[in-house]
Amino acid sequence: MSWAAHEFENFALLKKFGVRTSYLGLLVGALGPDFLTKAWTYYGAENPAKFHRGWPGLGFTTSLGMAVIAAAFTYRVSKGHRAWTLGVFVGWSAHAITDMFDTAGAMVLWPLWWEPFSIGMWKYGAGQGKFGDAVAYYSSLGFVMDALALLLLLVFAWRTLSRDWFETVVRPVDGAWDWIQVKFAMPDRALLAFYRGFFFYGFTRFVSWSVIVHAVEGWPFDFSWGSPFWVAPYQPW
Amino acid sequence: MPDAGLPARDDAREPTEPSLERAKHGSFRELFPADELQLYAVGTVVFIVLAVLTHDVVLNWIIGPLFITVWAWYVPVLQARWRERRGP
Repeated sequence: MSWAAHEFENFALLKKFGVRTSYLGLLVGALGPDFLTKAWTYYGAENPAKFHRGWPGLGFTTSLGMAVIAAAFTYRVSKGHRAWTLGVFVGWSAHAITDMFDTAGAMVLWPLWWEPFSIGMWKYGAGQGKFGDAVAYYSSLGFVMDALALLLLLVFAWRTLSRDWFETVVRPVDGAWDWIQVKFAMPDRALLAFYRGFFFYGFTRFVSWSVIVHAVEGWPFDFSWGSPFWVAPYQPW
Repeated sequence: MPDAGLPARDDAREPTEPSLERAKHGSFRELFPADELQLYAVGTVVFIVLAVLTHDVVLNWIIGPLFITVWAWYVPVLQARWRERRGP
C-alpha cells in the first residue's frame, strides 16, 4: 500500500482538474478505500493481503468499479453536484492505481476482472502489523514513491497550497467550505490550514516515519525491486 | 461585502484580495508570506517531534490535519495576547 503518496496526489490532481473538481470530494475518494478496510486489515484479518486486496475479501473496494459506485452514490446524495462527483471518482481511482505498485496489487478492473494487478515495486507489509508495515514501507521503494510524489507536488503543483488558489479555485466550487467555516466559527487562516491539513499530515508522516524507522530504530534501507528483503511475500490469490 | 452568516473575515495579515491571476502565476514570495511560512514551519517541527516521541500515536488522519488547523488558528491569537501583555 502507499502511505503519504495518497495525501500528496490529491493536490497534483487538483492542479490538473482545477474548478472541475472539489478538493473535499478528492479527499473523500482518496480516503474511502482505506477507511472501509484498514482497521480490519491490521487488527482482524487472518491474511491481511487477501482480505485487503483480494477476493474473497474487501479487495473490490480498491478498484475503478468501486470508484464509479462511490461517484454514483455521491451524485445522488449531493443532488447532482458535479465537482463532488468527479472529485470522489478521481480520488478513489487514483488511490486504486497507486496501490497497484506493491506486491499485493489492487483489483483495479473489478467487476470485469477479479484478479489483482500488481507492479510489485515494494512488498505489501500489513501482515507485520501497523508498525512493521511502516518499517517495511519506509525502508523500501515505498519510501521512494512517497519522496517522488512529494517532489512532483513541490515542483509542479506547489501553487495549489496557496491562499490565492484556495480562495479562487477550491472554495468557489464547493459550498461545503462556507458551511464548515460557519459551523465551527473558523477564521480564514484556520480554514486555509484545514485545507492544507492533509498535505501537512502527509509531509509530517513521511518525515516522522522515516526518522522513527531509520534514525530511532536503526532499520536499513533496501531499494531493490520487491523490497524489503525481510518481509515474507503475501499471496492473496 | 461580507457573506451573510459567515464569521468576519480575518485579513489582518492578508492585506490583498485573493487573485486567480496570482494563484496561477504568482511567485513563491507573493503566494506564501514569510510570517505564514514561519508559523507552519514551527508547527511542522513541533508535530514531528511529538510524532517521533510518541511513536505514531499522533500520526493519523484525524490528529494530523486537526493539529495544524488548531495551530494556525490559535497560535497567532496567543502571540497577539502575549504582545499586548508585554505592552509597547
